[in-house]
Amino acid sequence: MNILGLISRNFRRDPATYRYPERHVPATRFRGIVRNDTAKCIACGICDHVCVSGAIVVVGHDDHCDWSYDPGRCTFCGRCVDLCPGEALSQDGDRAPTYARSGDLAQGEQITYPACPECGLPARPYNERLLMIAHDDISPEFRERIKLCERCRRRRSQTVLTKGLGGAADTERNADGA
Amino acid sequence: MTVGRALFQLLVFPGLLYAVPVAWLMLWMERKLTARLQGRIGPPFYQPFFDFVKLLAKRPLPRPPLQALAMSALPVLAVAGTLGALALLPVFPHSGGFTGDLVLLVALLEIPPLCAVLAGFVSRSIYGELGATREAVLSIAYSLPFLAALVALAAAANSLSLSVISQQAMWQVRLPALLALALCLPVKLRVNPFSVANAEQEIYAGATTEFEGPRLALWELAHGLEWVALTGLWAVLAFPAANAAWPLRAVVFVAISLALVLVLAAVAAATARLKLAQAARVYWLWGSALGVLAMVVAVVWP
Amino acid sequence: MRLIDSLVRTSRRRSPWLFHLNAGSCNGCDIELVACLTPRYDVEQLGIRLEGSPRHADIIVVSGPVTRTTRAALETVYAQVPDPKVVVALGSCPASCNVFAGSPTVEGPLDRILPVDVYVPGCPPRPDAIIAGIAEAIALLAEGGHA
Repeated sequence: MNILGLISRNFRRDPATYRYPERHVPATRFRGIVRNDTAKCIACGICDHVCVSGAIVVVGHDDHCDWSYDPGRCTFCGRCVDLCPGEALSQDGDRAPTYARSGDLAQGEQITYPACPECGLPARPYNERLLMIAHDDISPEFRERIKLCERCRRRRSQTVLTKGLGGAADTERNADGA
Repeated sequence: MTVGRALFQLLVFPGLLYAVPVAWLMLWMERKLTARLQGRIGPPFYQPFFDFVKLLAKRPLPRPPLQALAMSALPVLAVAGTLGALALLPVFPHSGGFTGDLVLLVALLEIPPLCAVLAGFVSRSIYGELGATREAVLSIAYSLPFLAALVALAAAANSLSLSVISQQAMWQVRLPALLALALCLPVKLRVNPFSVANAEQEIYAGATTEFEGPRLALWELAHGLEWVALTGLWAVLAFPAANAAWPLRAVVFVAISLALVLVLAAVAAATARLKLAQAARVYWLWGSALGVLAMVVAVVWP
Repeated sequence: MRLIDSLVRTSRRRSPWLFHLNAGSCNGCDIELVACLTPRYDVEQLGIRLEGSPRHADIIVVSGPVTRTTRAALETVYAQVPDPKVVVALGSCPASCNVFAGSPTVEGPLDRILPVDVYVPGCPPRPDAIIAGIAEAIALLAEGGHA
């Protein structure tokens, strides 16, 4: 009989049990609590947008952005991490701790917008990786321009444009005159 | 049988003082062996004791007075009945006993199942009633081989006294009778494959589904004592050496009881639960065949 | 008296019996809870038993966001568990209704209906997270639960 062989084999072998509190190492790429690296976060709000259970809420303000996350609400699906354009979000490799009161694990990060080097008003945060995706080759001039706030950037572009156009017109006129 | 002797048997050995720790030991052995056969660690050996204390310390739920009374009295009755049965076991055959104690033993051993049936109906839970009905059907089914085996033994020894039976019954009667009794043990103890009466996962805990706290603690104790009493009865009948010294007898009695627990637990771990009709058929057919065989041999082979 | 007290405390710590109530769960947490009984995790080593009857239980483990149909059952079962008792919320659903938040058929989260003592986060939680949560519940139980 099969069962007799089975139970006698079980009896001879050591139990397969992890003795509490011993525990096994979670699998690689285990999806635990989501962490936000504020240095990389560009406050785009995609994580809020894709979060199924509403665990991540992103609220933008004039000079900063509030990123809040409640693991007690999280499905640990990892969509926010997958879709984070700046790779700011990551997940712990281990399980979340237990807690005693609803919302105990909730965490908030504040993403402060950097000041514009020209006018001093808050500028949009940027992320090196995104730049690399958008532009293969970044000139120092471009890098400087990306730090500006939107208004200053527009003004800078306009200046460059008018300067460039003006210069071209001058050259043309001169050529005509010659 | 003097009063002192009777009190010793009831309160010390094989009664209260011996039976309660051994009941916990047996409950633990059963759980532990099952766990080991399933490749698990299983509970630590103090488990049944702490279960008992914890249940005692729980606050009972409010109930209507009559129901509360009945639900408290029934497990007490079951514990008392089993202890009484234990006290009658002739571990030391020269120590007394009286003619007819076999009849008393059978009656006392029937008390816990009877109480369980009543408990199931008193609790007014559908699962309790279902468990009680099954318990009742099974008790009718196993009573036939159980009683037949004991009657055959009594006929063979030509006595209704347990100590006489345990020594004088012939082996040709004793063997089929012991087999029939062994067949009755799993159903009386409600372990697989005859656990249909308390069928956990299916009807929760059967008759004791609605019992809580101290009342449940007493049921657990009664269940443990049933283990001691029934394996003890089997051990007494399986080891007749009348001339052995009393320490040897006691040791062999305990050893056979514990070995029987291991065998029953192994069988329980290796088998699945039979349906009510199947279980009843086993007892009516094979159990009765063994019992009748024992009886025929007892009558024909003097 | 102190001896009895400490004996009771120890026995509560050593023998917690669970009652599992599915309050509209998707079955994910339920499967993980049953996984705790398997040879790999074997909670019986801690004296834990999964009981079928709430009257036998010390710890009520609730999974699911508490749907409208399960609310009454939840309240009945809670009343049927004798004191001291502890409530464990299994997974994100009883803690916050998870993805079901805002549904008209959901009456959760659980702490609106019962006092919850331990939350085990996860969707579903790993068996060892569940065991850690129950271990915490056991510590509360030894101190007399919340009753």
